[in-house]
Amino acid sequence: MSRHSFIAGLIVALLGIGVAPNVAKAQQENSSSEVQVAISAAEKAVQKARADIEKGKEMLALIPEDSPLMPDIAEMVEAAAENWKVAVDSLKGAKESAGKIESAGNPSLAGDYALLAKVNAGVALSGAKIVGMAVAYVEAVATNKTESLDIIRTALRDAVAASSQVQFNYDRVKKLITEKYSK
Amino acid sequence: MNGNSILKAGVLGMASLLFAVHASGADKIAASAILAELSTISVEAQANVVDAAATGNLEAMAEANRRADAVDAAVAAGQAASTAMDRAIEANDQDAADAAEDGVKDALQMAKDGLNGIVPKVSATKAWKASKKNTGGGPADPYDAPNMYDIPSKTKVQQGVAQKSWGTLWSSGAIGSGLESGGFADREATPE
Repeated sequence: MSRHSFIAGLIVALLGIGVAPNVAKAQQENSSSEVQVAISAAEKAVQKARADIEKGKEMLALIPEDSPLMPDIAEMVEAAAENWKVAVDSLKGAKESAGKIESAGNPSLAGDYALLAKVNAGVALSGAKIVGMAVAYVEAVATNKTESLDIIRTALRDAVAASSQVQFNYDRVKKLITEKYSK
Repeated sequence: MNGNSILKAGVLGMASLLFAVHASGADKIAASAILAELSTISVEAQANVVDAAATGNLEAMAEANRRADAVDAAVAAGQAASTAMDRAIEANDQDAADAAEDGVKDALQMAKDGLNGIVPKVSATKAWKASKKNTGGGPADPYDAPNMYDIPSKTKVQQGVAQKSWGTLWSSGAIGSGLESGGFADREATPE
């Protein structure tokens, strides 16, 4: 009986010691590829937002200064400017965190860098999308597509609220990770 | 290496194996990251609504709105599950925390599905039943009688007594259908 326990113990020990690093490595590789996908999507969105801003400038020039929608347009341009800055800064932060994954000392730290990079890429993506939506509003005014203004305005407000939730949760993730390593 | 040390190594190995397969229980950091991802998907869904509105295609707009609604529902479910997880962690209820964490993950999948147009269809019967349910101040008529079968009771006996009393009251009421009812519904026709 005890001999069987010894053998079973030995097998489990070998399995456990052998499998644990492999599982951790697989998890790390998986999260690394997820991060790359998230950063790539954010980069594309930021590039599109950059092109949208140029288009928005041209559209803005077409709108008469005495347009009754000017206060709305000012609000949209402000939202676009704020979110553009957030998108660019967050993309930079996401890339910095992703760069630290490989050099992290242990799988847990690497996983936390990966998580931070992924969430930051999400912040960048949502900021860039809002820029595009604000420019779509300006374009709709410039091209007299007034029937879609209400829809765009409502969608943009919902998106700004959701984007602030992304940033709130990014701050939360960052705080919880900091607390984890300061104990 | 004696028998005891081999056994100890075995236990250690098993522990590391379990740790590798299922690293710790409910994870607040991962849950917050998922909530962030849910909100990002919500922004994407709203951006799709704007894109559809810019085309002026009514069908595309309806579809984009349908998807955005599905994503919003998933976000709400994720936030509710995350709150439940935080409460369970505070109460040291590991099982409830794990279940709530699964709820957060399910919400993420729901949101991804919703963004891709995979929205679960609610059958007409279920939708009708849901619209008729008295939720106590919700969409139903506030003068609707409470449904005894929907009221949670502390014990089965208590529930049985309450339901029987309700049945008796119903059948004797003005619109009840029982023999002792003074009402009009489902009664035998009188000779005249």
